[in-house]
Amino acid sequence: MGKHLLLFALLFTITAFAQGTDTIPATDSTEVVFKKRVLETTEVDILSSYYKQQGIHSAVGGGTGTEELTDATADIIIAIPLNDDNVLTVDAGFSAYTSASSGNINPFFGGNTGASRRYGNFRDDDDDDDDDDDDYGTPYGSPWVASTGASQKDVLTSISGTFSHSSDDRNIVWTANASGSIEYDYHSVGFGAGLAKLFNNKNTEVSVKANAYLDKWKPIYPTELHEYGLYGSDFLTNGYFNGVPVLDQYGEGSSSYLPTAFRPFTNSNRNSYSLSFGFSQVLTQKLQASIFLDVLLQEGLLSTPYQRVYFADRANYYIGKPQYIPVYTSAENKGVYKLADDVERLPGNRFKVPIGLRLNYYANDLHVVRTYYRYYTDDWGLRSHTASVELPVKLGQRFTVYPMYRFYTQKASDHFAPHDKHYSFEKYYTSDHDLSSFDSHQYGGGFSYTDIFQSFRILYFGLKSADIRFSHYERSDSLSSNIITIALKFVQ
Amino acid sequence: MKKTLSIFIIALIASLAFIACNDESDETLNSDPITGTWKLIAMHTNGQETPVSECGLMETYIFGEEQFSHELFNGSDNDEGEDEGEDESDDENDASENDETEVDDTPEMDDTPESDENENDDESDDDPENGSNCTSAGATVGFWSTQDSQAYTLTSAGGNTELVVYFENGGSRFYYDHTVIENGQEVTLRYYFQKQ
Repeated sequence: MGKHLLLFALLFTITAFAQGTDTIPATDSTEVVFKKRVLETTEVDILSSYYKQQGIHSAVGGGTGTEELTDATADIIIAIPLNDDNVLTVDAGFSAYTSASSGNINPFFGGNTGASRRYGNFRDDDDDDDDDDDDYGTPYGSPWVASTGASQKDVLTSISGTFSHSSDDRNIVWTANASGSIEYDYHSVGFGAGLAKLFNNKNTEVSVKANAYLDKWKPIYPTELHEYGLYGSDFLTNGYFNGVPVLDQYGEGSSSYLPTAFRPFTNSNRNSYSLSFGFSQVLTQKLQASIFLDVLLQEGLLSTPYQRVYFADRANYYIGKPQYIPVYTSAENKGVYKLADDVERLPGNRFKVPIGLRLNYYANDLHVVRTYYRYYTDDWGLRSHTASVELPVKLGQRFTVYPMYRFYTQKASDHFAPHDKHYSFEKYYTSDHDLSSFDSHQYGGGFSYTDIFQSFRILYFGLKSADIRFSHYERSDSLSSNIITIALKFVQ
Repeated sequence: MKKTLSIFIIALIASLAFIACNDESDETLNSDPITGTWKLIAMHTNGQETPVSECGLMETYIFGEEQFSHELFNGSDNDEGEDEGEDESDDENDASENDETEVDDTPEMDDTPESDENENDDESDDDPENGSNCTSAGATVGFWSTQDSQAYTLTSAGGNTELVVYFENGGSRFYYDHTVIENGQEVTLRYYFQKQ
């Protein structure tokens, strides 16, 4: 009997090792309990999206101008089980955008001027012999036309890693993460840690997470302010403005433009700290609820250095074709650009508190109702409500469709005013319509395919699920966008 | 149960769509009929149609919500209508001070391949370089006001001009009369502008 028991124990042990040490000795040395690996095999998620937006309230244009933007992203997320308890997740991706709005940091076409050469909207053909002969005329631009300046396009590259460890009883999970991202004028480094505790046979979960992001701007200013910062009060006869006619509101030449409010930012750091609390509870067999509360603090350069502001109590000055001054704020303006009074100025601190609730109702095998509500407030006076509903409907074993709708409403920040409505005596100002009052609606849906047997394989990986989503977004301030996202999950 | 739930889901989506549609903000402004871009299409002298030069036909008014601009073009094509157009402009708002801000339209774009799209936009509207020798004589820019949607006052650096405008074709065309003395005779010039 003793030999049989020994043989059984040996076989069991070998089997357990072969299965990836799925068993562990429990607290009682005579009792062995099953411990499922947190992640059975390596999983690879490949995500890609294409986003396109249009609007009429460009923040770079001080609240007017095209907001046309396209953005294509690609991401790969690899989750690797290091052992039974530990998982390392690496997320690497890039986002490539072209933006008419940010292209208008330097909005000017043509003009044989210093700035146009310096900022790249003038293509030097490396054949210097003819450059002097070309008549580039007077430079002109429009907030409704995308400039071809260097800032028109950029690529954001990001990478992050998360390590998670689950306790033997799987009731405690702690995580640590680090991330980094870089684009032309901005880079960010982040790190954080989290802890989740499950109770009541995993029917209750409490979690806390802390993150910090240490970001740095490489400030880029609108051309006219950059020149003022460089040459001071003589800037109209130096650099870009040397020989460039500046027009007043009547289209007459003027030398009175002087953006005295502008001064370059001395601090280019932006730090963000967040603390997140979550509580999740399975209420019944069909109903699950969770609430979350975040506390976020930002400090440093919270203004975007290239977003223009125009003061209502300052005269307007332009560069370009005077005939378009009357229709400056409409798309009919094809040739004149208003010179900024300053860039946006926002407080050096921001304290944000979002609080939210999720309710998921599993009606039956085929229908689920996922609902979400969030209230947001911050010390800049912004208040918002978000509500969304998603209704996944299973179509057989493998297919699911999920229509969704999201409503959002926002009360403007104290520091926001539309184009040309700020006053020069104000301390803080922005004409970025993301901080204005608006409502938005997002409609969309998705279609997912799940194959637990992974019958479709590429090399060592089988396709576990494929997901495609589309949504249309409309904002009451005329911004609209479409996004399509594709996600593929492969498992080893 | 499943049927009831499906009906509920459909009803919920329909309700949300209804709410969303109702919430659409109407940003349409009640603009004055003069707002827009208008190009000269014809001219009559004492009721008889008068030929207008290619450059004369490029005369453009742009009316915004508060401001207007008026741009005339000069050219070397020897069309007899050209002189009359230029005379008229001199009588009206021609702000010679604008010469210093005269815009040389788009030839500079030739060497900027990135900006082809914008170049095309401009050419279709206001560039005089399409095979002609028309050049902008400068634009007069100012503010406009109206008392009765027919009598318009145009105020520019050069002073005030009164225009009595008659709209036709459902507001897509207007004309105004301008009286001058030529050889001791009163001559009425009527200018027709088409909305672009």
